[in-house]
Amino acid sequence: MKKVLVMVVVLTIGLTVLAGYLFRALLAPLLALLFDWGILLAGVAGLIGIGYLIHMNLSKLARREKGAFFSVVVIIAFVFTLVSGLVMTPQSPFFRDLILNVQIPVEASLLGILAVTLVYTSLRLVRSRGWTPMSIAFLASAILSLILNLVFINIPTDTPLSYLMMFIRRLPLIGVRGILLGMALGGLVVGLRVLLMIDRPYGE
Amino acid sequence: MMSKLICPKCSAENSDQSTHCFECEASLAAVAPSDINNFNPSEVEEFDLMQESENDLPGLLSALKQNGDIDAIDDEADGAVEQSPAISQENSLPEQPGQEEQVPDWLNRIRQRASEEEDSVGEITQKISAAQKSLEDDKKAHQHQNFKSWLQNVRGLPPGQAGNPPPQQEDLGDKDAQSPEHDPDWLLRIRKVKGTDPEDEATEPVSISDQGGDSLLQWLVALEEGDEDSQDQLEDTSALELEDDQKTRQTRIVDRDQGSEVTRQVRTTQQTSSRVKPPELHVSREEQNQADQLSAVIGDERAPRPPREPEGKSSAWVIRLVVAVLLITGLSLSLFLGSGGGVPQGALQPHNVAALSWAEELEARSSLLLVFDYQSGFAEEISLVARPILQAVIQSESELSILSSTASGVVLSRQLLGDMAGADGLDIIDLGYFPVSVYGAFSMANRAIPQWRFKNLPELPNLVSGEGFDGALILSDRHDRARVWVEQLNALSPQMPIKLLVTSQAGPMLMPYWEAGQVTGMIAGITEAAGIEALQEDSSVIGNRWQAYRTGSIMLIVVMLIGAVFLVDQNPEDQEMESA
Amino acid sequence: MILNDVVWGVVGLLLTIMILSYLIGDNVFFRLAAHLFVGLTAGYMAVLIIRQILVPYLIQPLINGGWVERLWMIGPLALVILLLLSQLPRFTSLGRIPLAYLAGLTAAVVIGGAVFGTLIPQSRAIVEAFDPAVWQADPGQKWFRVLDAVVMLIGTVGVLSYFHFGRKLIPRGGQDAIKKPYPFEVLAGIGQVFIGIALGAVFAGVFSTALLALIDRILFINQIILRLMGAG
Repeated sequence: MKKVLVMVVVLTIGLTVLAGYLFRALLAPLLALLFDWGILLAGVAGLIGIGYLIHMNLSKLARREKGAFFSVVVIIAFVFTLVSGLVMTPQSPFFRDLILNVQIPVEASLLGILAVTLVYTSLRLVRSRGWTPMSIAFLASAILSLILNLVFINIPTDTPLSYLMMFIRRLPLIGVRGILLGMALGGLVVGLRVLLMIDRPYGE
Repeated sequence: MMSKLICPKCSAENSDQSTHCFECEASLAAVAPSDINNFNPSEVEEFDLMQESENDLPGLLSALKQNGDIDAIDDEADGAVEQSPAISQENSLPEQPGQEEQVPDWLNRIRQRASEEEDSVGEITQKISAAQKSLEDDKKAHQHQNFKSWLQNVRGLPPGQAGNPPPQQEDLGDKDAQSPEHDPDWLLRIRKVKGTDPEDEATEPVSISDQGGDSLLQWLVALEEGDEDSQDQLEDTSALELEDDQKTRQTRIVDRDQGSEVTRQVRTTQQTSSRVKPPELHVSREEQNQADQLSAVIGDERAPRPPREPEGKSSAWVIRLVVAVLLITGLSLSLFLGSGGGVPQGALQPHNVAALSWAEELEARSSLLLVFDYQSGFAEEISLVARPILQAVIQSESELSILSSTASGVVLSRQLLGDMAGADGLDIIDLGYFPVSVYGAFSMANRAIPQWRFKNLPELPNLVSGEGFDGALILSDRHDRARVWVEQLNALSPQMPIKLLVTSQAGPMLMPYWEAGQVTGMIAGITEAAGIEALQEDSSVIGNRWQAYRTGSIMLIVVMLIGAVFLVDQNPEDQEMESA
Repeated sequence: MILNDVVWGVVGLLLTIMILSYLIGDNVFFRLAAHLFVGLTAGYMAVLIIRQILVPYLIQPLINGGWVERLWMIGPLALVILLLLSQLPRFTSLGRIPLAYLAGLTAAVVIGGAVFGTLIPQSRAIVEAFDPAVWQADPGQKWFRVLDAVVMLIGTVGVLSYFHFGRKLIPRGGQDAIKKPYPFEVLAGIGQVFIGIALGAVFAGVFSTALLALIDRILFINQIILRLMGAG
């Protein structure tokens, strides 16, 4: 019975949304309602995920595992932010400063580390793979893209050289288009498998 | 120091002064006194392989080889343990305590993998480990009892005969134990004490198929035992065993589904060949497949591999640090000692021009959707990219509906718009936060048309006017999320012009949408932002950053070229071709 | 206000240095900053979900709405309750219904987006490049456009061949089961080169973004130090 109910839910929701792409004016209010419920459910699922994170850190703390100190940091930061956010509003200056002055430095610094790591790993780019058509294309394209981004030369428009440059600039687009089509086909297949219940991400 | 004489005939204890046994009156003249104070309980602990060395199944199986000894200890465990010199000698045999260390390296690796991986082979091996663990747990509670029953089970005896001493034939490596004639004296004495007749028990063959429990498990036990024993011990004793074909027999494992036969030697000993029936182990197809898989993994693990060059961890760390110092120094010098000019002319691309023209030609009081879809770490780049367009939009006094599909977007949107000149009197509608980009994109595109309404449906915060938007600006740091917006808005509101203000990393993957006309303008990364700044003849924002960007990019190009020219390891195939 | 900026600036400076200290290896300062970030982000997300989703989508309609409006909320309320109950071991199976709802919604929207947002428009763009009207639009660029259209078609088909969305071939007459047919092999080889070119461009883009973030951090550190020294 439960399986049938699950099947009915997946098919009804899926087919209604798909029909919405074709009969939009007719189904728009219904789709709006379905998506509002979906947003609500996704939010609750997000809260459950956060709950798991905190629960995990609390149990780590209770068991006095290695690294329990960092769990204390997580819990204190969480509680402080949650309370401030509920007492104030997310748009209040203090709350905004709190979020931005922690998130921006941490995330940007992590990206800075990525920059150093990319330079370091570039040393071994070909070393690990050897000379293959793909690695040659990758290296040549990366170097060429970097050089083109630096705009050392200002080429006048409507000259044969400008056409050549345009052609070179467009070369990555070919591969990217293929990749995008591949991803779209992959998404289509996965979506169909879920709707046809070949794959069941919600459990058996 | 307390010596006693053990009767060689009846194994009775006699005082060291005795000349004849008080039990059987046998002469004790030739018997050397044995010191019972030399008995050390820790030795028993060590000897009792159930305690320490039996952390794995091979250890348990090896423990079986010592069964006679263990029973002796078990029965005499009340403190008055008598141990003959022969037993002490057995204890000191190197193979017994070091059983764990004798497990081959490949088997250790498999076990390690099995404990980490959930694959089918891992599952099998984990099953064995679980069985071992269960045995170990049971042992703690009823150690010797359990051991007896286990032995009994192995011997195929009914539960009622638990008290019987264990058969000695299972000691595959000990050739003396294969017949009563070859039994050591100490064992004979113990048997005498226990009143066990070796003739009665020696004839019962022990085979894996006789053991109760899961057949696959036992097959694998045999596999492990076979791998270890047959590798280590078979070599030692093979000559002897080949002479006596009664001691070895073959077990056929018949795959009934396929009809194929897998023949495997299961080494058992027997005294009377006439009483032995060839055991048949029936393995299902699934079990066979799993076992084959395990065999394949074992084969693979044992296959010779080219020696791997040890990676210098410390040198890698030093190189990374050197790279970091060089890069940061180079960037700092460019930032603080650079001229500040040099923003490129001619970096503009057609899609940049299209975005800028659209913003500059925007009608007054247009309704625009601004999607903040980037994380805090990208705030600086997005700010550089979006500034010229947002400035133009603000000047047009458009009505802005802002929406965030990342959590940071909620505060970043206020920060970015707050930094713009003339943003104070902006008419902003906050559509809120959408935890899933694709839902937000669909909702926005879906609501942007006039539509009927359900009666009495509660008013929700993200209601959009039915007239839709005059354009959408997507500020994003990732191509996959920006793509979701482009896809949904295109599919549902194809007339709505979409502009992308994205990071350098997202730009290349979104170019096809510009090429196909799905996106009507785009600015990606610092180069294109610098191009717009150059066009507007204002280098105040990007300025020195551009110099530093150039320095960093040139460093990367140099490093890539150095790596490509000097640090290429040749593939083995290339080397073969060269040598050929 | 200035003091406030200085305090937050120092916080940002400390966090930046703590994270960048990872360059000399994993250490306690890096972990401290990372865990602080995790806790704060989790708290912030919880605030957003409660304030911007739970309250307006569920709680307000239930509290402020009339009876008919509340009736509308039975559906989402039931789904939320089922999802929450599914976290209890006894009621795990109840979670299937709300999850099936989300799965159906997501699958459909992904299909719709892929088909109407990418597959059709992008395929059309490839085909339209062969339109003679496009070639004639700018006579100076005619041959460039022809070449561009041909390379685009071959490259895209090559990339798709490299992905090879097909079943494993059934071996016939001793043919290798994994081996693709020859035309596929050739196209896949071409596709491999174009994928390499595309990924090279993406790599350059990722580096540009990361480099700009590093530049921004250097500028920030300099700015805060100057401010603390009273020069900024």
